[in-house]
Amino acid sequence: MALLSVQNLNVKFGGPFGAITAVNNVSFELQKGERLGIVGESGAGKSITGFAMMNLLNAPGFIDRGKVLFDGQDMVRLNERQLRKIRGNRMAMIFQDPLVTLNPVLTIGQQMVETLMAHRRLRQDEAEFIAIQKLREVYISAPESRLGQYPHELSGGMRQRVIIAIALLLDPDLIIADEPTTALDVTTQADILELLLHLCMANNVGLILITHDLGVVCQLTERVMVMYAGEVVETGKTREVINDPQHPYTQGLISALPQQTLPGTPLKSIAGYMPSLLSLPEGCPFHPRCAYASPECTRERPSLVQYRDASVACHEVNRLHQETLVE
Amino acid sequence: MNDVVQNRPLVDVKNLHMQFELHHRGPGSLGLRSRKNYVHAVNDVSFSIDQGEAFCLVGESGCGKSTIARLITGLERPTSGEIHFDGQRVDQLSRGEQRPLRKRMQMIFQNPYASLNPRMTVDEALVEPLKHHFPDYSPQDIQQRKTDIMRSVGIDQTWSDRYPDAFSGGQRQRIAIARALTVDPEFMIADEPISALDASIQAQILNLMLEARAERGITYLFIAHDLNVVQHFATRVAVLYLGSICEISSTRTLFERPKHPYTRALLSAIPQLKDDKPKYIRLRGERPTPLAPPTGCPFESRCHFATNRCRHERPRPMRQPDGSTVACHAVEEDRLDD
Ligand SMILES: Nc1ncnc2c1ncn2[C@@H]1O[C@H](COP(=O)(O)OP(=O)(O)OP(=O)(O)O)[C@@H](O)[C@H]1O
Ligand SMILES: Nc1ncnc2c1ncn2[C@@H]1O[C@H](COP(=O)(O)OP(=O)(O)OP(=O)(O)O)[C@@H](O)[C@H]1O
Ligand code: SF4
Ligand SMILES: [Mg+2]
Ligand SMILES: [Mg+2]
Repeated sequence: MALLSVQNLNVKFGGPFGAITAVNNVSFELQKGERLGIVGESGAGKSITGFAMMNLLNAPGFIDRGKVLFDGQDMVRLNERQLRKIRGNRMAMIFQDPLVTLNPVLTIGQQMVETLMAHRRLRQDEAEFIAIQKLREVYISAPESRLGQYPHELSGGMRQRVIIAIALLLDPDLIIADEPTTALDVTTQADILELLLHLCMANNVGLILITHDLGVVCQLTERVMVMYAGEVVETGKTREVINDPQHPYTQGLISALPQQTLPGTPLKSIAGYMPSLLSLPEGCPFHPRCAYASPECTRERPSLVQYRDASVACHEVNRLHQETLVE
Repeated sequence: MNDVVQNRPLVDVKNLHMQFELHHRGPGSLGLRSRKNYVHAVNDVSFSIDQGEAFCLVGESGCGKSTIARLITGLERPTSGEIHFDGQRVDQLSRGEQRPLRKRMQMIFQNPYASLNPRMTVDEALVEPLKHHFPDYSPQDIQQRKTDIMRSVGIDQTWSDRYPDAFSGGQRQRIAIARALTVDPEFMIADEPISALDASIQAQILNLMLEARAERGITYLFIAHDLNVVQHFATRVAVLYLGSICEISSTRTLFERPKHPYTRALLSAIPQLKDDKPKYIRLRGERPTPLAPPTGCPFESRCHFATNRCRHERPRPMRQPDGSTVACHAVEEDRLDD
């Protein structure tokens, strides 16, 4: 059985101008110990997908339909008490916003000890000992003295590492990491990535890595899912998707990287911006920005079609494949 | 790309020091806080930024980059040292005296979640600085300017009435960038401005910032972790380690011929898109703590080239033949392999 199975997930936000669909019909599976990346445009719905997996959406957001089966239990149907047993304990999320995890008026030590004692029968000094150990694992120097510091007294990257340490406190089976290394310098990032990789491999921990850093996705994940305007537009093996992207959005994303352009010259961004979710175009959500858009793209929404290991939602890719089949 | 750089320092930082006092508190059965502790966040840092430069600060998490940025904007007072802006000493100014500088100097903060006022709509957040800094603008002028800026950073007009919590991390960061751009500053401090953005929007924002530099000669102090971005954007780079400068170099020299052992390790850790594992120079050894900074070279505990001299004597920044400045005994003694 898959560790996590997300089926036709739809997330909506109610609002004065009508409901918007932030996550549209997303499905995927994750096996024990597997590492999946989620990348995509800012505002595409990556974080909201993460929140939905934990069943942690706040009003006006809600899961409109779909299932999130974690170890066979549907997170959408569990009550608060059952959810609390899973969240933080078996399934931990590293939030993009540090303030979701860290309470500004409590010291780092108080927060870590509290979390530990809420789920495990431990004495204060035992809990502190574990907290110090976990802080050392994420390369915080002199962790004993950092325990007494408040979040605002740490640098951005140190806060981020404390958050990672908190997610690891209870040895979860699944880690959802939302931009976990975005605030980190490359050497610390390399160490944290190695730590996560080691955890997944040695303890069979599943990982969902949400990031916009394609280099990080490449180093850490086996499969990747590309999102645009709330939908999955491409999934496949990470190396294949990055080295040979099929969907025009994925192609644009990769050519926008600064490595692809001479220093000081303009970078190749994708023309235009992601449409507001309130006024999504008909047809393919990417068509107003797409160089290959045909009349069909303006009318009909492409659905995910599987080609060998990969799935792509694009009429043009579809057409190319049909042509090669005919030949 | 150095065409707009003028040989006139806009920002001059001299022997900057910053220490934070730590108070004893917290759960503390294991706390080691019997005496006063200090975090030595910035140690004797000097550099100057010429008009029109894009000066980048890079370095390990917690090495003092944001602290330097906050000191320059006057959000914090240095323990010692001097900061000059356009010839005027600014590190001892009162809040009132700082006011005229606010329009000339703008800052984008590291955390997009903390940099916006949760009780202001996007519209209010953008209009407020315009009204404040351009009192003679007509309401139409303000609307026009606001609309232009929103378009340039890709903020949809339909977002105007929404509060920050209805936005994703990257969307918030774009609003913060738009806010800093509205007043058309001469000097912009950008602390990880695009880290939260996907590659395509990163490209759009970087293009916008480069354009502002080419057209209006805007000067940047730019803090970033993504070295590919740094290589693309910066004219000069300062590499910090544990509150001290290891190396200052033109961007080209730094990426072609990095000298300081820490700089080399840093460049080797850039995540690659290719399958082959890069020759990542793993930093072994204990991470030093700014609570008790080493007396010798700050990088000594993790350096592959450390000697006894490094343990005891602090290397001083020395000018190199190619124009860079490097603080390392091994470089000085010419015992680094190339
Ligand atoms: N409270 C809310 N009300 C209305 N819309 C919202 C709300 N919260 C989020 N959204 C919208 O949902 C969409 C998805 O947001 P999400 O945070 O998942 O983006 P993301 O893919 O994580 O982006 P980023 O890379 O910038 O973090 C965004 O377009 C956002 O504007
Ligand atoms: N208000 C404060 N009180 C105590 N210590 C502080 C305070 N602000 C910063 N520090 C300490 O100063 C050091 C430098 O922090 P700073 O935020 O400048 O790092 P940084 O280089 O920006 O790191 P990052 O890349 O992680 O953002 C850290 O050890 C931090 O804990
Ligand atoms: S001075 Fe010594 S310890 Fe410091 S970086 Fe140079 S060789 Fe390494
Ligand atoms: Mg997000
Ligand atoms: Mg910082």
